Amino acid sequence: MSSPERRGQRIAAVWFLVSIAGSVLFATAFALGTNTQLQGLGAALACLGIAGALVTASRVLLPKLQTEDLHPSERSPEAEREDASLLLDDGVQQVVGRRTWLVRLGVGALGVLGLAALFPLRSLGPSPVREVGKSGWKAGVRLVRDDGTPVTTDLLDVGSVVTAFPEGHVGPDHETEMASDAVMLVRVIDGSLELPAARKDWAPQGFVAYSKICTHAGCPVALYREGPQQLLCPCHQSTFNVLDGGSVVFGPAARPLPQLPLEVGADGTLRARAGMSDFIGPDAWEHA
Amino acid sequence: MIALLAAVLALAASQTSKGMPPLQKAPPTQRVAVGAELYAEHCISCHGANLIGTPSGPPLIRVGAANVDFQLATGRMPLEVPGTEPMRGPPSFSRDQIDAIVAYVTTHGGAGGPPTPTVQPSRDLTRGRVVWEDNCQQCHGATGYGAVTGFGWIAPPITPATPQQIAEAVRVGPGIMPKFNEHALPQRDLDALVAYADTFRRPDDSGGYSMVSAGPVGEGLVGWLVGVGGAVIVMLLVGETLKR
Amino acid sequence: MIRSLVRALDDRLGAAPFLRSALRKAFPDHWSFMLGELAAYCFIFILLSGTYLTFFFHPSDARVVYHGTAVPSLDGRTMTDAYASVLKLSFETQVGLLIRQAHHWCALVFAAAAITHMGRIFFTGAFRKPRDLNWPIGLTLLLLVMADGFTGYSLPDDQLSGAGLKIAQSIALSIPVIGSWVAWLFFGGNIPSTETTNRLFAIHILFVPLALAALLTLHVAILWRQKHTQFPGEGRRENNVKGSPLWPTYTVKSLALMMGTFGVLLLLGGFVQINPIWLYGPYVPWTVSSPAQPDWYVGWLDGALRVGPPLAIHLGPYTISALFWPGVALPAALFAILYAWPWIERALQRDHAEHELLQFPWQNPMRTAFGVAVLTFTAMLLLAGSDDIQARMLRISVQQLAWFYRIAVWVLPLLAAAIAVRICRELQARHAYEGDHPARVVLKRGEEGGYEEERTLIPR
Repeated sequence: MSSPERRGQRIAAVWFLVSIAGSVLFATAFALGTNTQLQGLGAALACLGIAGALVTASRVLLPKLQTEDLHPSERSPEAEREDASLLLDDGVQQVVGRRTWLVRLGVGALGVLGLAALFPLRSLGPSPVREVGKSGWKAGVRLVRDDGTPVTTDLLDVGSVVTAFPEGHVGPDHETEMASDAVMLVRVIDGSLELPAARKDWAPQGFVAYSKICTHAGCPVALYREGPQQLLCPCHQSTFNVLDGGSVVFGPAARPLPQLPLEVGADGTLRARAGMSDFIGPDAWEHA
Repeated sequence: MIALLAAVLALAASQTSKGMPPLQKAPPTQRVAVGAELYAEHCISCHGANLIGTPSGPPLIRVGAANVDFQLATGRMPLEVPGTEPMRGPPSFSRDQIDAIVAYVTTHGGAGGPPTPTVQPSRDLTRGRVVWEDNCQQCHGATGYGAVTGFGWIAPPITPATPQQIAEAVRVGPGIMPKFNEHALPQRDLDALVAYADTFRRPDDSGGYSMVSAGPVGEGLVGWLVGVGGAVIVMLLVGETLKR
Repeated sequence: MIRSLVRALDDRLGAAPFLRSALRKAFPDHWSFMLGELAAYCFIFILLSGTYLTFFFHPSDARVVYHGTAVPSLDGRTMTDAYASVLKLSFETQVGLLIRQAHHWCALVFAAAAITHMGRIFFTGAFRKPRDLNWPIGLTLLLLVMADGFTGYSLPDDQLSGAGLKIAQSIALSIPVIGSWVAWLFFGGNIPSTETTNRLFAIHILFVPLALAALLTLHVAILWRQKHTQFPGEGRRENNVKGSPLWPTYTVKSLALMMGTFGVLLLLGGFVQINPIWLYGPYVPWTVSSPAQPDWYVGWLDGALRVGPPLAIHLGPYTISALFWPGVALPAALFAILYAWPWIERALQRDHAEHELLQFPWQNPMRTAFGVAVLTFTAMLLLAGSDDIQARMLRISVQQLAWFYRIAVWVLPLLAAAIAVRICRELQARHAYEGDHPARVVLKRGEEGGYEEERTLIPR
């Protein structure tokens, strides 16, 4: 046995010992508790030890064998190709022959069978067209927080923000609705608003509300930049103007944030004057 | 009377914050005078004579003690370059000087603004976490590491802030941060919030070295470099390269 | 013992001839030929680790109250059973966190390995006939890996992956005509739905792995039948393939790679935290954290969404959403071109022959330039996907950085392709003088005596 061979064997032996140590470490760490790092080290060494030994074997211990395979083209002799094609074609002719109408009927039957087989897919969920764009916001509905407490005017100073939902549509059973109906309610200085003429009375006392669902891809537009008066979505940085009806300041969003018209009730609570100004969330094919 | 109240509140505020040395007991009027001098030297160029503001800085009329205390104690003010985002840094003034400036601003700026909050970190981490997730994480990140808020501005990391400073920031809404009053965020929630925020200093990294600030981005980088890189090393050891 | 085993197999299956040829099969030794194996071993590891996890994960969106000391800030919190089961798996099961993290690291490496392997195949022209059959199969494998990764990290129902699911649903909804049906098929209703996790679970552990296993078997069977390609070199022709024999030489090498891969994945799983869902919190649809990115192999899609134009088209009562262009049209076009590439290249280069020898990348500048352009394009999209993190590091406006990426995503690939062509031509010229191309050699008598070679290139 040559000297590199002997050295190689010793090195491989050390690697195997490393592997054994790793396995023992892993088993011990497992038994003693949940230290992920020790367990990982043990398991990794157990594998790497074997890897090291195999690498040593490959580089030093095993002879560098080479072999050669011959590799003629996949292409078969022309006669065989013809034969195969003829066989296939012959079979088709025997079945179809002059009975093309019958075969067509058969294919039609299979097609209809396939279509019928698609029907069970209908049970996989509620009709999508009706679901997209549903909203709990209507005239007179009070704004509440996620625990159901009504939003009163003293909740927000100028420069404050809160997330609000339509009353009666909050709670553990209403999560899907809450996910669409959430609004960002912001209080700005009354005189600073620049809403379009048609929306002049949508923001009493500086309270203004926009849908929290980004019109780009549906993430919550949760960042309120008090000062510049903007709402920013953290997913793709679409930015909307709070003062002028939610117009897009920057970003891949193509549509302004829908605005919720507000009024202040006699009891100091905030209510919706009407439904949302526009379709909630990202555009869908059926712009409901 | 108001000046006295403000000064006493400032005193109380400083007593409840962690690690602040006790105040010297100076008479209120003297403190206001000292504050006026400091103001004239360091603040007037941006905030104007008599606190009325200039094109470089907003007026400080009725801003409240909490606001001034927060800006000065976190070193955000004085702002070196007007118009840039005020960032945390070493405070430019001692605690006594801060109290003096607070006294001056609240005396001459008038009553108003959020009062200096007191805060007692509670044990209700679960509630604190809910408050954090509902109101804070979108700007400051799930783990309080901070994040961009657009157009070059950043919501800073939370870990350097004391509970008092966190409470002040919540009530005051410095910079482009919104403010949360006692109706929106009651004292109980504020106490829970600062308790939860404190856990950011000892995050649970049971899984090992944490890149949570970079999230999947950092993980992808490591996956390529260590995962594919490590495997390629094995390939190079057992495989051949092209011989020239 | 081996003799009796072989005899037993041959008695029943006539296996001896197969064993004779199989054990001697030639496997080229170049290290880059092992990239496909890396992906395959990732598949094995992910199946093994994933099987363990299925015993502990609850694919249910039912509400439970979590009571555990491991995460004090979640104690008493109402959350989905799916999220709670991952918390329990991570903190109350002995090796739960190690296996979970190793499994997730494996997904990242699996996708990276598949792409690197595809790159080797592409840049060496291995996809040319007759291996144009295996190219679409491989591309489909890549898509399946990405799909399994996405469904997998969405299972724990945490804040980060929940946001990603919502975005995915919005993209599905933007598909014209069939969009809402596609969305409902995968999500079982509007998010958050009580059906979603269960459906994603079925996709993640059953449909996609079955498809992966079937296609991978087909992929390897075709490879086995067609035999490997090889780099050109001494004694290497179009009708042979040289390399190490499968047994024992190549088996040892391959097993070394397998154990090495497993070891690296377990190291990562133990020492580098990944997807710490207890820090992200359970998914609450009307809250979100910042920054928000998907796993890297979906990151290019997120980047596309960031730099996509705000262009919605209204067609009467219907709308083509702005999301459609970067979210649907772009990936569809990209993968359509990739699928069709073997035939595109055949048509453009008028090369309908079969090829068993590889090309070096510089020997086919057009293909290399196209590949470099595609890689640069995807890499720019990937970078764009983390523009807010970069903006923070560089202290610049993320909106300005987004504008940079909007332009760079189109300009840089063209630039990179042009540079690639130049480099290819340069390398072609250089290799012409290194004996790869035929040359006429003239011996000249030197001034001090002795002979010098003068090589002139014979044009091809």
